[in-house]
Amino acid sequence: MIVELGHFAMILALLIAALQSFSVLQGRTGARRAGWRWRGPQLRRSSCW
Amino acid sequence: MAVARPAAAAQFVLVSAALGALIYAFVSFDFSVLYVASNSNSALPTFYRVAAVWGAHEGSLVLWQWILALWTLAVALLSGRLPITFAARVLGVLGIVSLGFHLFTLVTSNPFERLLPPAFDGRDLNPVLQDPALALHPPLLYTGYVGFAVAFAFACAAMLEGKMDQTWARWTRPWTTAAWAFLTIGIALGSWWAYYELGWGGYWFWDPVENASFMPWLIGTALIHSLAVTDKRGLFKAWTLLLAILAFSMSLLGTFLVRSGVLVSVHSFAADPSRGMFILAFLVVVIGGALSLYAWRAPLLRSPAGFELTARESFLLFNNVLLVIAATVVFGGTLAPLISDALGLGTLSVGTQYFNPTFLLPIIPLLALVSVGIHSNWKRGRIGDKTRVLVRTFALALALALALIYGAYGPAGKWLTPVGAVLGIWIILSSLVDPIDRLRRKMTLPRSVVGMTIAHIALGVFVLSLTVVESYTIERDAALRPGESLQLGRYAYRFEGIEPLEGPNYDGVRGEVTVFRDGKQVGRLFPEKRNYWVQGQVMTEADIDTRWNKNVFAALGEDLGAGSWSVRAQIRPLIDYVWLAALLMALGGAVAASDRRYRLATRTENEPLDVGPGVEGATS
Repeated sequence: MIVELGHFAMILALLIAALQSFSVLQGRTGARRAGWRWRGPQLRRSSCW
Repeated sequence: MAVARPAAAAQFVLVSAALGALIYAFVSFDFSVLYVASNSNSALPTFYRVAAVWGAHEGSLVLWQWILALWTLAVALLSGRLPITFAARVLGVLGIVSLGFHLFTLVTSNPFERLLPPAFDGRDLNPVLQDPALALHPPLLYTGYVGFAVAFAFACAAMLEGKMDQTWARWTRPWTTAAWAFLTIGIALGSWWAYYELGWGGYWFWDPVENASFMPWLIGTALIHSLAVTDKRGLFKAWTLLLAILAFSMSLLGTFLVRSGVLVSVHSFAADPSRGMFILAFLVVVIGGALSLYAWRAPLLRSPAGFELTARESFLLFNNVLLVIAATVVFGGTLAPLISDALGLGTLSVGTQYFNPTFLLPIIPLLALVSVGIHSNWKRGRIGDKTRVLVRTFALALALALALIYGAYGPAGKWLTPVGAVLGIWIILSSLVDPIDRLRRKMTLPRSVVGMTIAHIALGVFVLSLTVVESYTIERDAALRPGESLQLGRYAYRFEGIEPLEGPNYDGVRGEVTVFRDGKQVGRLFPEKRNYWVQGQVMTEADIDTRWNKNVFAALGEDLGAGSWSVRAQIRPLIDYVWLAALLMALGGAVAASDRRYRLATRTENEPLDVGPGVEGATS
């Protein structure tokens, strides 16, 4: 029984670690400061069209 | 952040519960658990039943996870003064690392797997591991390994935030130094264990798994020095980040080498090739991700300040480059057999003939530069002003080294003996100059300076003692019958005979050796030969008479028949100082990590820096 509880605790720890991992995505990633910006799909007509 | 801190606490509680359940299974002889049945036995003493939890792969992973959860909890509790988003990102990165290890354990290495029907008795713990050092060596080593995950998490968080400034370096320093100190003790303890248990008197074998712990130590040493430059002067930011990533990469690589079984080593009891792929994939994801982040952020890292060639920054740069070269040499030698095998070039064995000379190549100039670098100032070296102290300390070191070699031991006939002795003593003397000067001027000594001084003195003691050990160890193997003696320098070992021996889970014989020096009895040694019942493994237990300046060592070899036994005799001068120096180094790290400055409120980028020795003539 105690062994199964230990196994269950490990599985719960895995789920909580997954939850904790999302903390890396706090607010801005700093991408804008680095000059990176998502401009959306670039569908301008080129000369070959 | 509302999630990260409670999650860190919850993880610690849950992993503690898992580890506790596993310990309970071992202590209560639950042989219905496969892992317990494979690594314990009803005759195993209680102490070893607890330590056996991390005596093999699955349990040592749980220990790894518990230590990671402990480090994460420590970061969660002690990060109150950090900006909230930064602390959350650090905990997030640690969460990703934990997630990988939890997955690895649950998918490939579940320690809770049941065995049906249960075994009547267990297959016993590997006799090599039935030693008190098992209780300490893996936990300390893992604490060091895993501690570099904190430095790695700080580096990733800084890159994600886009703020890789001096403040980041200051936050990271105590964590990195603490991890380094634990790794230092862990490695030293492993070496000591090998000396009396495994190696017939050897203490470092350049074994792949030893190397796997030594590589992160070398990179970690470079990192703590590079962090000092980033903290004080705002330089080497990119390099420091890279070292933080590399140090943890080496820790993961070490785990891969130990767990995958790709390399044969004295630690091969832990090997399983099927698991290697998972760790390799994890290594690629974690390290690949961090390096991608680095490639993205590296263009932001420009160092505004410059420094002269003779400035302290230059010496720390040389230190970093030489340490990384040394780590590369070890890396190359460790992986060469693997690469040779993969390319079908045949079996390659890389040993001391490769490692000793190639490792010394970067290390000797590094040791010489330590004594010069200690006297240099930040920014403008002004090393010319220190010529007198440099010459005086060197001359004194030379005199003391010659007195030691020719007075106490006699010429060894090796060119490295005087070089090592002079360098070791020079480092000790040079380390003392600045603290003595400060005390004479009635200045206070911050803990960072005290810690640095202790660690550098320890390095000098380490170099000196290692030089003496390598130059003046004498050993001899002989076949002896009761009453016969072997001569070893001024010592004589007289083999008195053997008597039967019975332990809790082994039997065997105990030899008796009387040791004489210049004809006068100075001690008796009782080396043992044990036969562990369950695994049928025979172990050699050396006996060592530890004195202040040498170890008198005896080990019992094979029964050669007709009452004759193979006996190894060894006199190793100053060997204990090698490990004491490592402990002292770790103590220096602990003292430096506890410096008050690291506990002060967060400093912003615009605040004036504590520039340390140099420009204003003050050191820090």
